[in-house]
Amino acid sequence: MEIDSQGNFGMVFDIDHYAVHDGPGIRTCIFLKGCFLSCVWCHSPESQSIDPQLLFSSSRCTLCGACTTVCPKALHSMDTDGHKFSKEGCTTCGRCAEVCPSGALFVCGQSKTVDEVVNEALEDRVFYKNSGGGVTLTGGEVLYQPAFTRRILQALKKEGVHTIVETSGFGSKQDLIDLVPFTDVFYYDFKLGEKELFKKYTGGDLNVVLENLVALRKRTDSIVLRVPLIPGITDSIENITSAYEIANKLKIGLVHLLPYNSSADAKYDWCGKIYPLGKLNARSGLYEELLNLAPKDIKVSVVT
Amino acid sequence: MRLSDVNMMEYSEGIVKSSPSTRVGELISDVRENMILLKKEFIDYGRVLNEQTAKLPLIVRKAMSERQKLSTAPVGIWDKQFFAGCFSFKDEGLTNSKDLPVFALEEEIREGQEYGFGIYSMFGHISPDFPRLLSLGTSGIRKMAEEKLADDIPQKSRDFLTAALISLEGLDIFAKRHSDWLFEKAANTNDSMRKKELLNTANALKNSPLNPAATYIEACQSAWLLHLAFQLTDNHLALGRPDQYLYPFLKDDLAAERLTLEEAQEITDCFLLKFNERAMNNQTSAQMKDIEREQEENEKRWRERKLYDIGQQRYNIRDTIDATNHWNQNVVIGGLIPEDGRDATNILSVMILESFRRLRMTNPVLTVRIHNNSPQWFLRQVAQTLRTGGGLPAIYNDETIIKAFTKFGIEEKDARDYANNGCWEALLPGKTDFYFLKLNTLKCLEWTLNNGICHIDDKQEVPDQGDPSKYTSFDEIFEKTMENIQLVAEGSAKHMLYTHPHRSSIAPVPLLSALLDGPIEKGLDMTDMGARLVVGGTIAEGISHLIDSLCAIDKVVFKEKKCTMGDLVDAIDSDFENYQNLRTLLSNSPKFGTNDQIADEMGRKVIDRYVDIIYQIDQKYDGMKFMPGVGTFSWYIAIGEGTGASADGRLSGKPVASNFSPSSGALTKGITAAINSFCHMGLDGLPLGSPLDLGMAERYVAGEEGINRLMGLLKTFVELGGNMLTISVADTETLQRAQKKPEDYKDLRVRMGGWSAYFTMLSKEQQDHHIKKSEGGIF
Repeated sequence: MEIDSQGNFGMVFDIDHYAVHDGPGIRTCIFLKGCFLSCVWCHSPESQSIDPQLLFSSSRCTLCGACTTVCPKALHSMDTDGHKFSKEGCTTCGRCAEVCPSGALFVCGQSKTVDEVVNEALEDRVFYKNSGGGVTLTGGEVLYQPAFTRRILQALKKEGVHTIVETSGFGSKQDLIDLVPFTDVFYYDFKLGEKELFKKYTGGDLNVVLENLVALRKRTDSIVLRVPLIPGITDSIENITSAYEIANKLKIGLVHLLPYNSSADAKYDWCGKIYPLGKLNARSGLYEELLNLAPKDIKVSVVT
Repeated sequence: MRLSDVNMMEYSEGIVKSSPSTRVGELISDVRENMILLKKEFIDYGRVLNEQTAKLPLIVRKAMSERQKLSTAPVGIWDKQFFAGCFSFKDEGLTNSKDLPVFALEEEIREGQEYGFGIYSMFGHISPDFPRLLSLGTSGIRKMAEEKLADDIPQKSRDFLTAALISLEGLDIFAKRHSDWLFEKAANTNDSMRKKELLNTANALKNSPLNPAATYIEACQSAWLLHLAFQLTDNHLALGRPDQYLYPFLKDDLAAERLTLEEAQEITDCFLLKFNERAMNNQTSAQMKDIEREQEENEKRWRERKLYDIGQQRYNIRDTIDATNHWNQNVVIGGLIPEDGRDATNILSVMILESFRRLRMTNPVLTVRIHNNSPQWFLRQVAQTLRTGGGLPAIYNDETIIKAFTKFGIEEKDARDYANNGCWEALLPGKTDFYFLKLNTLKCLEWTLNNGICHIDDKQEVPDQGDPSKYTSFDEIFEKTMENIQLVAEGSAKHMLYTHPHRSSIAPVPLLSALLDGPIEKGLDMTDMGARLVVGGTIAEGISHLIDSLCAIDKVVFKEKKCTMGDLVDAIDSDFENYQNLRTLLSNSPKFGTNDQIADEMGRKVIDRYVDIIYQIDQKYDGMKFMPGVGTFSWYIAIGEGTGASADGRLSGKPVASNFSPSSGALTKGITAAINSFCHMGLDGLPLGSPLDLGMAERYVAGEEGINRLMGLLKTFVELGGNMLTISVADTETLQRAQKKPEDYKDLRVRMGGWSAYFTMLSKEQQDHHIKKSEGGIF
């Protein structure tokens, strides 16, 4: 799909009202589709591609067969083993999702205008005012649709809404910096501090992320470093220590540790993908251990 | 100590971190272990009716029956309790729940039946005048009655006042029996601490309710004894605003250093525990009643349902099956001071709220009134209490509810004193005779689409409005549905006006009448329309589904023309069999609760018309005040069982959404959208109220941020003009575990329409309903 360079419209895959883990107060979380990375632990695999996708949740399917009657390419079939869907050839026309009574088939990703997104977010402005909340833009990756992101933030700021941007930091430096005037707080991911491992697990270049962070820090001090704690991958003492070191060096006073969320497997199933990580558990005493490591000038908290 | 020295923020913040006293801790366990009435033995209350008494007026006999019961009902106190007078006596296996001694003659009973009343007809759902008892005592009320008797008044009034005096005597006897018994028990008690407590209670009961209460503990004991006396005489009544009427006594005791804050909290805990000394679970509930017979009677009643009684649910014994354990015991705290409109929250509001949090019981049901100037510390404590689950306290917004009362002609000063009727309907405590009839609004559309015939049993319920497949516009359907609402509402009003005055012929309430504003002054029993305000409520059921159905018809049939009216009628007649695609289209139409402009405008139109219909009826008829509300209580399953398939895609017989909550599956945009939609409904036209029941998983309320979010939610609810809100906090996994291991989850509570119920005591069907509802985290 073409990305609108003016940012008049963009691809959104979810808008979550009363979001819990993405900043203070009552917040609306806007999830933009498309990401440059493909982290193995990604808990929104449906967000990686910019294109709309037809998702299929077999557990919701009631085998009613309505989809088989409308698919122009006859990709759905029902037999004794249940509902068969051959993804190959699907153009995401959405007709099957329209007739699906149980929500087993649904299209992920809708093209929306800036006004549509902003108006939906503004529906909750009284809630923001009364709770110290606001809007968080996340993804996917917000830098994948930079103009759209900037336009949304700009419009929200004009309305006096508190804004948070959540980013992997892997994108164009200029695009990132352009967001500064309209963003109250940046939630900046620190996934892995070692170049090779970063490449291996996310597919991206760590240097870009670090350079962008330095550039961003020069222009704002409102940054929170966020570390996802993926058991056996990002939760090592060395990795967390390197996060603390960067924070110290750049005088970033806040670090959030994000506990591993093991509930992503269903979403992989919807996308017809295999979840590469199994059921992982945080090792015992992990949070305490990591909190104890924190340098004195840095406030570390576990986001539960 | 001076209360002005207490920093309320610090106090309320500290109290939610504190633990109950040892005494209260032990009493909590004791109550929890013994609340279920397994053994059931009755005292013989004796007889009232004989050759001599038969000649007396019925109302006098009723009073004698009340007095008789209060003279014979067992007296006692639970170990460690401060307060005497009990529903049940665990050691003796006794309960205080048998019917009143018979007081009416056969022919009187037959006559009463003609109007639908019997000797055990209960006029609960009323909040008696507790302040009157505490400030005057029975002696003061007796004096009022005696003075009135000295006037030249009709015989009917003489009979009523004589009866009221007999009932009050019954209350005095009940108090004296307790007092005497406690003095004796104290004399036989060696433990000097306990002896002192027993003497304290004995002395309290010796003084009041006969005389005005003098101390906090006396006031609580008096209020409790009156409540118990009402329950024993078949009056299931609400508690009004105890943080207002008990507060002066607490304030004086604290100022005079008769009590410390800790002692006051312990007394408050013990007082509120008293309301929990009885419960039924699913089995005991079934044991105590002949379910089959009751079911049969209900089926018969349903088959014979009249227009005014159209809200009659198909299986009204659901309360028995579901063991909701509600006894109309509702406490309202917070709010405004009637005289000057200032915030009424005080330290007793804090204590009552804290008692509720720490007891983790379901009774009394707790309701909190908030408004534009509610203190921050109070909102915070409310949020902290909400997090403990059970859907309580319920939240009322004064700004909207008071405005609604004034729209229906109530003085603002009176409206500021509103409480509720024991369930959730708002009323003015101490002066309202309240009754309501239910109006199934979804059924009104069902008739419009089915020639006035009920889909469930093919009964012709209202006149045929014509061939539905020939309807040519949405407006036609809307207007016809409103005609049906008008028809039932007016039928209900006329029914109430016609039957209400006849209540007194078989079921007068002399004790309650003595404790209400109006009857003694007018010389008329409450059932003779003696109360200052007689309210006939209409409660609209199934309203969210009506709104969704209208949206679906407008969109699918008329705007998009995806099917004909004939198709729609066929689809509904056949419960969507072979119309699956049409059902999906209808289901995907705009829904109330998603902050969708189309659905919200439709909802507003429905509510405005409904309010106007009731308002016009109120203007048209004298003798009663007619007021509207919206709700289902805990009967959302039963209402659904009597309602055919609806145009929003709901299948025949399936439950409707509770109260004024969005229909199931319509919370796609979350809790804020539900509140936004709800607040667009013109709720200041509904004085009785219309609860929005929402739920969320524990993760949404976790941590300090969870409290902040809840506080923000409450403030927004007030600002946007909501009226009543309940928020249940429950995790699907917790409910599932509780279903499997009920013994570990005795204090787990869930919201049930108007009540909070112990999850493990509910029927399997209700449990499954709650589990399914909670999936997805926001419900």
